[in-house]
Amino acid sequence: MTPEAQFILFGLNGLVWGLIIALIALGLSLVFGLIEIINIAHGDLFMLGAVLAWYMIQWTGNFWVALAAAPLAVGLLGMLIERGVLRPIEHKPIITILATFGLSLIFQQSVLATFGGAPQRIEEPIGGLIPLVGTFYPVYRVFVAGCALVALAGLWLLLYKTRYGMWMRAVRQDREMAVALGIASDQVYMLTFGLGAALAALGGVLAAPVTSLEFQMGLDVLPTAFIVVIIGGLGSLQGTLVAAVLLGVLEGLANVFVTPTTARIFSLLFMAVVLLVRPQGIFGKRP
Amino acid sequence: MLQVADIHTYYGKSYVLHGVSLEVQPGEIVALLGRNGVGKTTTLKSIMGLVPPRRGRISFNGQELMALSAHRVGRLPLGYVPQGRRIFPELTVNENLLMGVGPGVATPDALERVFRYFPILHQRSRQRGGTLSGGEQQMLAIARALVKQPTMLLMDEPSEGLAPLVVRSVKQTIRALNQEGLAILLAEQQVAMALDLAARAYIMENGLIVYAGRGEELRRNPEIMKRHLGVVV
Repeated sequence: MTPEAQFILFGLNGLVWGLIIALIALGLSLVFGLIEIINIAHGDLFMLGAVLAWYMIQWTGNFWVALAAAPLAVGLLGMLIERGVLRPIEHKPIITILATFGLSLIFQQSVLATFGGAPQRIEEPIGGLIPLVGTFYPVYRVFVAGCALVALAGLWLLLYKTRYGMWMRAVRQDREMAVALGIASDQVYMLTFGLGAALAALGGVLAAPVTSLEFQMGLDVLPTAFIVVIIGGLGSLQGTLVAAVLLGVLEGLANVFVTPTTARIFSLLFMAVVLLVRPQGIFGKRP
Repeated sequence: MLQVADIHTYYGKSYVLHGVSLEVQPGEIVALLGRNGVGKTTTLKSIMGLVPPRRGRISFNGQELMALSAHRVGRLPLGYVPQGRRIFPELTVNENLLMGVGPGVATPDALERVFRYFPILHQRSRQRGGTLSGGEQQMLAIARALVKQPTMLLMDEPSEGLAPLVVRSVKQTIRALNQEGLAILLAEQQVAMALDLAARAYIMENGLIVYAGRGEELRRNPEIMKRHLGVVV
């Protein structure tokens, strides 16, 4: 393989991974922007999406069923978490961090107890390779990128073109006023948390065939998702998307020269530089 | 139309309203006067259920408001124009107006009526609420309360922070809305403006109503105004 081809392949891999991270980070950002809580279990919702997909494929033999059903199931779980765990503690920041950390452990241990500790794989549901600059690129990864983009477009339409999206934005800006105008903010919180969870799980299902599944796979993506949310600017959805793609491509390209672990150093350096120059993040507003 | 009977409201542990009673009849403007921090805003928020009273009774058109959660109160034909306007800054003018109907549907009639009152909002409908001037934001806050076609408005310091010319136009708007049959409870620090509009007035001090009477009667009693409001008009 020529060095240029290698460069392009790793760059594309970074882009695809960046889009998966964008789904996870947008879920995190949506919830943080609305309720101002940090969900430590968010990475585990990504893991649950992937593991549930594995089970569903075992039962039905069909990846497409899993792609639709796993995010839905995790979304419902997210709504349950908001209603049953976070609302009773009134979304108080510190207790929320502890509570979601507890949930994170519960999810990981439940998966360890049932799914086992050995990594599993899911076969790519779409085979085939696309010829590209003297080498080949898997069709499934192109599909992942397309799927993530469709989900992101859907999220944008939901937020900016529907009444529910308008209520979400209004509750985020001034909860009390939205309530005074008749919006049930409790329901908005619950649905938003569910939506954030579903996005993480969708990332998990899409990522499942290109990575290995194990109960701690969420631990890796959570810090990346946080980095992306911070670089993009807290609460800015465009910023989160741009930062995820930038970081993904950057890490992907760094992989050409160094090991993945060293490549992570590049993204941390990138975060440090961005925060030095723009403490509010790329798209964040000055406080 | 609106009866508030002996409400006691707390912010956490601090006891803010010590038993407030007042009423508003259909079609009248009632002023709620008092210095800063005496509980005017808390009274309006208590009525809206945003700061639920611990004791007392509030009824609107025969419905018990304290039995409803705040967002249910927000769906009644009872418009709320809050202190500081509280426009959603990142939402467009149009979206701010659509928020006014809560989960209901904004009828074209209602929007048209609002734009007739405030043509400037029609011109600015695609602009973000936060980019409007103070006077325009006040218009938007009133307009937002009107789109659900309420029978009564609670207005909290609509003149605050506005230039005298703009205050005059807000005053004309309030009068015009009242002439269309809207009852209005107007919390104000600008005593002169409030008394020009209101037939009846309440004065609050330290979480209590200390005076209730007709507007002219209050104007004839400068000592009362001086003692409770610190001004004479």
